[in-house]
Amino acid sequence: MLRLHHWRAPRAFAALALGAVAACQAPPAGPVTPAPTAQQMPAQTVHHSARLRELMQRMNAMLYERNQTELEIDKQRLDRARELAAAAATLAHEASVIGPPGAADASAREDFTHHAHALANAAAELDALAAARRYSELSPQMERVAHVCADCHLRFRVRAP
Amino acid sequence: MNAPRAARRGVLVALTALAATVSPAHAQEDGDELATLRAEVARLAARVAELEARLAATSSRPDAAAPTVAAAEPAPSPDTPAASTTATAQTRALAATAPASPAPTALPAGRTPDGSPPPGPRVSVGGRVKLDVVFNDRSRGSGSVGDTLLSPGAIALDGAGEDDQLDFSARASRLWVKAWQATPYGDAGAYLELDLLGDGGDARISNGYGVRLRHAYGELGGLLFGQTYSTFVNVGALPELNDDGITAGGLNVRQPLLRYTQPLGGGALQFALESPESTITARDGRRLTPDDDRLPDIVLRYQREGRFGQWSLATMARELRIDQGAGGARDAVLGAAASLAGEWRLGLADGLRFTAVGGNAVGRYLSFNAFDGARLTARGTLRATPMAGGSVSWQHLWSSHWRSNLTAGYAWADDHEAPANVNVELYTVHANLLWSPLASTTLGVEWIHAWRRQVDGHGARLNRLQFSAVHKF
Repeated sequence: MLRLHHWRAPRAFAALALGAVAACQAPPAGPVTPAPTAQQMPAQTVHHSARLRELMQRMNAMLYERNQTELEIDKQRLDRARELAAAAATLAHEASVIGPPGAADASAREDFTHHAHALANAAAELDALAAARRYSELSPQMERVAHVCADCHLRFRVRAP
Repeated sequence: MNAPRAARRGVLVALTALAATVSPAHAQEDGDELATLRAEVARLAARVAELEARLAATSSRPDAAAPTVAAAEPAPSPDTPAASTTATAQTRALAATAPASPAPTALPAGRTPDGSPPPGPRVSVGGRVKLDVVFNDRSRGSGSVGDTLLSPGAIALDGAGEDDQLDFSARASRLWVKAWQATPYGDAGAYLELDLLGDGGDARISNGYGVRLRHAYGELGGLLFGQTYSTFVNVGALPELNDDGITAGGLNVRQPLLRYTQPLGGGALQFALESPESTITARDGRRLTPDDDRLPDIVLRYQREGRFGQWSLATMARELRIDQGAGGARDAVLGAAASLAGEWRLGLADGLRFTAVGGNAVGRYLSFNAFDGARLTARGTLRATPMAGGSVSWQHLWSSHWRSNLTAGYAWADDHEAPANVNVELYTVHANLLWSPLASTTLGVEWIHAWRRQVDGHGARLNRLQFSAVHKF
């Protein structure tokens, strides 16, 4: 069975992951919630946010891997997916405890909490898929994680230190 | 937390349905069926208790407190950028529909989150199409595979080769089939990969070429059997190149082997018995592959991975042997080799891949057999050849679609009493610029410079410009 869709999902994921990274680096124009500085972000959150970004980058790099066999790449994607899920879940937990950056109003706080929950959900689902070795579903799920990251970053302009 | 609740609710509904089914009338009609149903009810009750216990354990974890079910959808904020509207809607849907969960918990291999075994073997077919357009300022002649795959130990000597040649080739295209299945012994997998770098074919009319086996192996838990990369090779340390050949100082061997991997101290220890093949330099300088081996190549490797990257330390013991029968040479020599290889990540945009190898039994493992493992002496005995080499490759990501790799390698053999045409030293430099508009498609240009020197002092230089287009499917 020829699985042409196999590479479509990774492509979409790569685009979204890169979009999420770009969102961290290039804030959009227009009036938005003031960006927090590195001093305003707890060290742990900075650490886990960087870790999540790093894991997404590594997942993305694996799409270009030329030397490993595809079976080996699958295994490594699985391991990275579980690491990524754990990092995302930890970050979601910390975000929900800390709340939005700066002097946010009630609506912003609610929206921020909503994003944290969405990230926790996406992370839990990703881990469940990885635990079940459902390789073909990993990329679409990571796409959802990347969606939540990009959405939250665009909304709250959390910049990497 | 909705999932356990839903699960409990489902189980309770099932129990109710079962209870309704188990009426006295049915019981009187069939006592055996009643007993079966009772057993089923007992099993389900035990399952409910198990789920309750798991839920209680999860709830008691300190990190489980914060993420609770998202209640109401937040009102759209006027500050929300228009570009994120779609993503915001998806995030809301995700937060509203899926249950929030704390940090993931590890599940045993081959089991789904609800504890049931996953479905049967999953098979998929894929591959890549690759076009290489290569311009060489030096060639060994018509039909030379080395014109498209760099073999630094075999480039044409200065003044002896042909000049300025252009080659088009799609022979590095590949086709693979992979299968995976969970078993009580761990994950089972199988992998077959072919390319078109086999014999035959010409460029006049059809450009048809023979299929060549690259990989054919199976895995069961920690056991691997079949043909794939040697355990002595750290594949993750190989540089990303347009060229499918090898750098000077690089290790790249695929062969039949039997390998066992055991997790150890946060890494993995591998032990392998691999196919032997002695390459020996005859007294007149010819390369002999006598196929007289009687012991496997034995490899022991430890590898580890972390945020810094990954590394491996491997050792190998080999017997090099020749038996030319009555009147011919008959000898064997034992040797050893070691390698340190890995990838060191330098932030998000840079990485360094490296390989260092040395010993008197490296032989064919180094740089596409640029040096033979041993040499026949005038007395008809074997002398194992000490050699060393290494390569370093720096990768830089210019942007999300563009990246470059700068790679340098060097290898050297300590045998200046060998015949005049034997290699003693070589180096290579690769520099490329790669563009991946899609994750499945990469186009790139690469400049290669290679050099080698023989015992007699003769040298050989090659400059190559290679354009490649790869599409995975």
